[in-house]
Amino acid sequence: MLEPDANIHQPTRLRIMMLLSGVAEADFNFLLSTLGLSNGNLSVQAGKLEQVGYLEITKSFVGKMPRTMYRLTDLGREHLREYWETMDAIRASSQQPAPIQEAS
Amino acid sequence: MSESPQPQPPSDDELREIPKWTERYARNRVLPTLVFLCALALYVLAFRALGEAMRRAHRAYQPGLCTLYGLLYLSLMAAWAGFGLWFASRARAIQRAVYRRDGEVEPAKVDVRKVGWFVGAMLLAAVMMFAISVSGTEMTERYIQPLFALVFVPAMVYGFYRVYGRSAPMMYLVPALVALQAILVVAGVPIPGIADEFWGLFVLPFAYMALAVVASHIYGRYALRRLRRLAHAPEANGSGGDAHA
Repeated sequence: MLEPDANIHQPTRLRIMMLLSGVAEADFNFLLSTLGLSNGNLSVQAGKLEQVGYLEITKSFVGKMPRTMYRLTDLGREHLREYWETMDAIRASSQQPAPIQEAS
Repeated sequence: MSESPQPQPPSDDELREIPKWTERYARNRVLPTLVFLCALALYVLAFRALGEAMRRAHRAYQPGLCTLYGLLYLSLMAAWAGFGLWFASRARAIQRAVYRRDGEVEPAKVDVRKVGWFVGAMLLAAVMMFAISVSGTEMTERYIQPLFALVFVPAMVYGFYRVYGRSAPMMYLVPALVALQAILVVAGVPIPGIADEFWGLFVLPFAYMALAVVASHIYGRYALRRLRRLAHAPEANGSGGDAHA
């Protein structure tokens, strides 16, 4: 039975991973403004991705301003690729015509 | 009371476009390059003015003035090198300030070895231009720009393709306009300054680069709008959900 990765399948987490897969890294404000989320929601979802090792979060200061950068790990990229392969397989299997039952 | 229709969530195919538009946006945050181009244009003008002053002083047999202009020339070169280093070190901070409201995003690093051929071709073009301009032959006035374009255009297209691929299409405006200018020069279309060494080889390419930078910035804004539409999280509308459509 094909099952997509539950850590990625959640819509916001999927979007975070897709956003980060196109670039080297992005900061908290970029993700916040692009996803249109609240601070708390983004922190929670990104934290879950960090816990499973898909995301690397780096905190630093630029002058006196805190800066949080997000980067997809190699593991995260690998799981994202596998996630879409699984979704393709699920879609393909659901589109296959049902076998015709021959009347005996 | 009628309910307003809920926007349709993006399909899987649309979600798969998110990395492409993120990269396009990240690669088109180029507005700070205008600062560099303006400074470069000022330096080129200053170099040209000093060169002209030195030539006149030499003709008037004024060695003192020649030495003074020579020293100014060297100071200007040192100032340019200093500015280049300063800009390189501050480029990211300038970009961060210009695009503060969008947040910070860094595109994937480009392997500089990919564009070695491009750098070599540009050096060849520079040497060729110098050799032709000092030779002072009759053909140089008219054909120096087309000869330059012959090396510059394919090298630039190749370099841009290796660095940007299709993520910054507006940058290709530079080689396209240089090629168009070369065609017009060869065809003998009477546009003032088009075949002139200074206007045709310095001023117009600066204008092309500035145009490409502004066009890229506008394209970047378009990419960001597309990206925000595609990546807008369902939670942002308060609908939540555990699985995407």
